[in-house]
Amino acid sequence: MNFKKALTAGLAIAMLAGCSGGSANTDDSSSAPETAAPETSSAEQLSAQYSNLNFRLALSYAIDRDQIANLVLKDGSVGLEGFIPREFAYGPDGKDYRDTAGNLLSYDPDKAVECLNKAKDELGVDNFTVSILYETDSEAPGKVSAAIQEMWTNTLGINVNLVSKTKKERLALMNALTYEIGLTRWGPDYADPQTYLDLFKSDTTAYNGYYFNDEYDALLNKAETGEDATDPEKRWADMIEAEKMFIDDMVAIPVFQNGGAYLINPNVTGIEFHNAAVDSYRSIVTKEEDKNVTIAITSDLNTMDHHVATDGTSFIMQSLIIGGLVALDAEGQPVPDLASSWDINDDGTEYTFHIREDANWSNGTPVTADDFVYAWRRLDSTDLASEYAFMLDTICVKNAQAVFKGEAAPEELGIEAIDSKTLKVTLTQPVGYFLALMSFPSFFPLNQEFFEAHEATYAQSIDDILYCGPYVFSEWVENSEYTFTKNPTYWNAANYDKYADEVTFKFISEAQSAALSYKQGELDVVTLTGDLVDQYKSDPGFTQRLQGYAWRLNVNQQVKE
Amino acid sequence: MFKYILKRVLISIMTLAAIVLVLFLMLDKMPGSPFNDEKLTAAQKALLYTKYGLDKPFFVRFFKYITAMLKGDLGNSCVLNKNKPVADMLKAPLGVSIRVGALGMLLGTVAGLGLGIAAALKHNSWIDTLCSVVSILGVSVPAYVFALMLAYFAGFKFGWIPILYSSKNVAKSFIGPMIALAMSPMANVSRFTRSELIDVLGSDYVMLVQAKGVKQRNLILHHALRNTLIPIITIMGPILVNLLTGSMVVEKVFGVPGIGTMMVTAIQSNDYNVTIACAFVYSAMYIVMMLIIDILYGIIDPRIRVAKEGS
Repeated sequence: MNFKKALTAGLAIAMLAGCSGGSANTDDSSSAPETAAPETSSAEQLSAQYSNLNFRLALSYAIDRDQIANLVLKDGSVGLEGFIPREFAYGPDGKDYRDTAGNLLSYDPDKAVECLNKAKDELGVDNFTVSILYETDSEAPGKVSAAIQEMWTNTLGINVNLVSKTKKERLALMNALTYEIGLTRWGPDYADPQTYLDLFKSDTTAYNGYYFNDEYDALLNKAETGEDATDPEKRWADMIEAEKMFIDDMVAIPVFQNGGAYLINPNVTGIEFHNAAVDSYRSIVTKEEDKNVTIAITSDLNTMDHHVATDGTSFIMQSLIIGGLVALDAEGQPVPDLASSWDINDDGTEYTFHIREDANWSNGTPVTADDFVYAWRRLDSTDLASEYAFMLDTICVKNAQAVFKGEAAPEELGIEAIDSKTLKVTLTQPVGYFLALMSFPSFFPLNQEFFEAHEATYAQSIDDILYCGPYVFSEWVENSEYTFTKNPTYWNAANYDKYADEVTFKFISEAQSAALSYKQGELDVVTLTGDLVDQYKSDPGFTQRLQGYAWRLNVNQQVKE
Repeated sequence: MFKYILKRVLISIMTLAAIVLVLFLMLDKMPGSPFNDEKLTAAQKALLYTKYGLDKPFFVRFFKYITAMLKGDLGNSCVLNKNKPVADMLKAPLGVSIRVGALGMLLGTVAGLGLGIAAALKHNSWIDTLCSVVSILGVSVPAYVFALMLAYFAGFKFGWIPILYSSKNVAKSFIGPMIALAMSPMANVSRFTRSELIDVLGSDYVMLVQAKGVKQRNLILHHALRNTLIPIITIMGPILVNLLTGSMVVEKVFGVPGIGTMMVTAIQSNDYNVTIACAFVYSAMYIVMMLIIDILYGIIDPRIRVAKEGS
């Protein structure tokens, strides 16, 4: 074998590595170039086009959202009625935000044409060309973009190009503002409309930063930190008004809300899906004899270290073995977990948690307030550079930003241990969703002594983790199977008899074989995607729910070359 | 012979070094970042880049990586298995992939040889037709489709094999992936064996051996087959490439925790260190196989060694 031949062969493999991310997923190589549009439209012309309100309204009126949900996606998704999705945020009166705010979007071809004609007059243009950027990591965005292309072409008579990219490429293009219209989504961090509305505040650094509206900012600031912050009703009304403002301006065009479809063994109950929090597998009940439940997961476990985790799978497993000050019940309301009770001061900025006397780690040492203080300081430390450090800022913990940036000492973070079982958290302002977020893994405790003894390999094997949740990690087969068995030292272990003895997660990226295995009785829970949803609709275990993800079209008003 | 081997080994090492450079360059030019969360601020991103040393210029990173690599340190993962050394991450999946791959290759080659010999001996009979059908199917049906069919029929319909990999019953879990991977080598080997053997059997020297009264069995094993083997070894390289790419989809279908699955996830999530390590392992396996094949040539046919040494 000569050198040239070997090199060519090796390169072929290298190309495989370098390209399969892009080429495997970019299905229409013949599509329009990135910045799209024919030779004639410059970035300025495009910016002018997308800055025109009537043009954006025309695009929105021409989208039949129900058809996209029911005829194109057919997976339980629904058309959005505003920027904020359904079934995720509930007002002071307990009503779904969406029911109070109403339906702000409609499909109206006549109005669409009317708006388009106005836009033509205002811009002095006869015909428009637009380009939609979407990701190919999953099937839905491509299907939806193609449907929208057809709707716009038929109703408005404009030219529509489709540009397909991998998700990370799409994000990079959108960050650089080198796109026209981008199909993107947002998953809520907490159960409040603020998680969506904040995206379009002028000071956001995300790729939506081109939208500047002082009125919108002022309204949200009033609701979040200003005079209405302590009045839930007024705050809610501000949010509703801000969303209306957003839709009147058609800053981005909301399209659909994700549906999730599953096959769940009818003998298995108690899996709690939360739209704005981590799904709970802590209280599964099974009627099967062996009391073991096996769940197929489509993305693998990334880390058991709850301060560096960023993905749903990792969070779900961490919630099984550790636990927070509170847990969420089936309705998503906070109930005591490691803390038995808590006091809140009058203006809602100081929380004092009383940690259970019988809350212990699996090595016998008690769970203390210091474990939380140590944990939160680690989450906020510059050295760790956790991608989820921003969560401390989200819940407005005093000095969270300053400590993260290294401008303040870790001791100045708004968390302190009054005594070994009493923890005080200081916030800069009242935060309605604070308590519920205490169930989120980023805020779980960490035992300093244990961590320092295992620092180099912390959370990399079942012996390098300390447990205080209802389950312990009993078998860790990397990239494949993760088994959890009951934790006898859990404070509530006595009441855990009724729940599954063993919970196993099995990583299987091919949904087809997972579904077959479910039919064979090997798996109890399988997530369905794409065409499989239709195929298994009549199965007795077929379950559907709405997810908190809202998909929208971002319209770039500052197109860069 | 020693000089010949030494030369091949040196070339292989140089090739591997070139591959790492190209891999590094391609990943550097790949769009996106390992940290894709929309919620990250620019400052946080910068902090993460510093933490994983991604803020340094290309060549600084490259040489740092190479020096560490020579010491057996492949860096840490920054997405897939956060902060875990890549070298540790590779061990288990690599072992699984090599076992499945080797079993598939072995099964495919042996079955292919058998089928090819049978077809050549019973030229134009039903077994010959079977051989053609198998090789056409094996070459044209993508590994993904074949693996899914196998999972559906043998796994789901008849329940002969488990559909998904289970760490509790590894041997049984290997059957499906092994057969799926064997398909392509079997098709190629049987096709080549058949045509080569037919050629050899019709040649003059075989007629001479027959005339000398050598038994049919000895004739095939000692005289005909040995000359058939050389062209077959030639196609082992391409077969191996098929096997490597096939392993990615076959592992996916059967949920095998191998290196193929890991590499695909690593590429999708921009986990640079893991991607480089996986791609490097694939390249190294390929080059080592080519090296072995080269050396085998020399052993089977001394004329090749002499010719190559002369050039």
